[in-house]
Amino acid sequence: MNQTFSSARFGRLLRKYWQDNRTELLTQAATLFVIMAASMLFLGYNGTPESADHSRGVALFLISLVACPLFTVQVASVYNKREQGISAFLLPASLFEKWFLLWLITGLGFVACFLGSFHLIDAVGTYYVNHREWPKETLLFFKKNAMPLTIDYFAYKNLHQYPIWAVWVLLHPFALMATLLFRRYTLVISVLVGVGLFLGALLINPILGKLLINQNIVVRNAFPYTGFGVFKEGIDGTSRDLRLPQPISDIIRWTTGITAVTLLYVIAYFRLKEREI
Amino acid sequence: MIQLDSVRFGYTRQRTIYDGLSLTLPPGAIYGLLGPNGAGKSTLLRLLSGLLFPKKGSVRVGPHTPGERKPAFLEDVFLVPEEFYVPPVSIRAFVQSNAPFYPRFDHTQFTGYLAEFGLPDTQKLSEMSYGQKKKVLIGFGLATNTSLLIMDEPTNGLDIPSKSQFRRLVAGVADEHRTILISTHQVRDLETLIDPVVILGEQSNGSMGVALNASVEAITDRLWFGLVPDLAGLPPVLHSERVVGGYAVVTENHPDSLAGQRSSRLDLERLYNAVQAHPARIRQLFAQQPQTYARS
Repeated sequence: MNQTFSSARFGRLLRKYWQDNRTELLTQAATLFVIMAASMLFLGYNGTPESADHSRGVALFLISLVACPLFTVQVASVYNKREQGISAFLLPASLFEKWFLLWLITGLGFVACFLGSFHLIDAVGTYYVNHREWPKETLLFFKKNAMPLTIDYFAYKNLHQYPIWAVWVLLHPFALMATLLFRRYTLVISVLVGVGLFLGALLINPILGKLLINQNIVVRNAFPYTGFGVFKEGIDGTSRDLRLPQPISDIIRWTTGITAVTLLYVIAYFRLKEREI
Repeated sequence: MIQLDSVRFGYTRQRTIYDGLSLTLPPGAIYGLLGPNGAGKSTLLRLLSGLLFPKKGSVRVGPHTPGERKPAFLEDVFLVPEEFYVPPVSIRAFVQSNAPFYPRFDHTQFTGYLAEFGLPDTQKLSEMSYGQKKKVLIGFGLATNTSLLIMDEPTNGLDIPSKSQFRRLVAGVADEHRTILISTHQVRDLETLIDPVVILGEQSNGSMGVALNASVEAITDRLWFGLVPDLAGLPPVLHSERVVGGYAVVTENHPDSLAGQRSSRLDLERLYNAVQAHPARIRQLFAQQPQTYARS
């Protein structure tokens, strides 16, 4: 049998994982659903249709920002605990299969469960918003301000415009890597390092921008994966959003993104391979 | 065949547990691994199962290098650790999800062990006592029929009847292809089971090494274990202990002494004490050819 990957062996590994952790996984999924439902239905869909439309996107990002790394740390830290780690490492499966299982559960599994819950809640929320009976004065206010009365179901078509998507995509490989890198106080250290790197990028970007463009510019926005917002006294008093021309912009964006994600997953794999217990 | 060759290992750079440890364990025996606290018995077991990597030297188990953690190796080794994790499922579910990983797992054998230990397979592992969980894990390990079965303090937590059941079951699975390695402090529990005996002790460089690796026959050939009213006229005494009615002693087995003319039964606890007290002399004694004249 192949010593790196065997579908039969991986199937056994997956079945065992589900059988051993079924109750825990279902409890976590239920908890996530309740938290999402409570925060989205009571805070998001209770305002105006316009604010509901905006707040569900924020909810999608913020809840996943917390839930994704939490879940990843919880699942992957099995390899940091002595008793559970011994049992996991000695299970007759290859390291790649064990790493792939982690990726499948915490990555694909989480995304499927999270987005499934999100869309279910959004369906209920959208129905609620679109069938609300508004007082006359409110309706007049909406009309006067050209505000919509209904909203559509949440769609992803405009999500790529938000710079935050890059953070979202990097979150899972970073959490997986950090869990296997930091054996003790995993969550605290991972959060500190993650926030540190993010703040570091925010600090370094304006400096790099000034070095590349002009020392006299004032940087207004230097968020990673967005255009570069600059302002220079004496031109016309407005700030400019500098963007690299296409297709160079997309090539750089995708190359750096894919390289970062791949590197983080590769580090996670080698940490698992080198982990002693 | 288990082969450790000039192994160096330490958890920190400051303290090396093993430095130049070499050990060969041919298959087909139940090895007893003894040593003082902190001697690295569990460390050695984890090096053999691939949970730790040697800093220098090599560890081989049959054709495998444990540190590579290849499935072919993992399905041929089973470790019963001292502290272990079991999922919150029934025994039946545990077997259903774990047995397929071990190609030679025997369900009939496992059912027999459960019956012997008096455990119904519908019982949930999370609702069992430590000793009961350990029995399940020991039974599972025996039923995997792996070439190497490693057990770290297996009798800890077992009640008195279970200890004799354990000895019976382990003795029942021993064959010429299977190596069973048991690390223990409970020497009385396993005295009649283990052969050969491997004792770890401190070396001159401060690290731990193999102070003794010998079969029971070789041990009783070279050493004499017995009770004497006083210590006068005995061959060199390696360990003595005051007991009711005299002294329990471990002496060198000299054919011309009274002791040398009587056969003796191995006493693991006293052997262990003798090895720790006189490691150099023990090494010297066991480096010699067997003294066939020692026992009549």
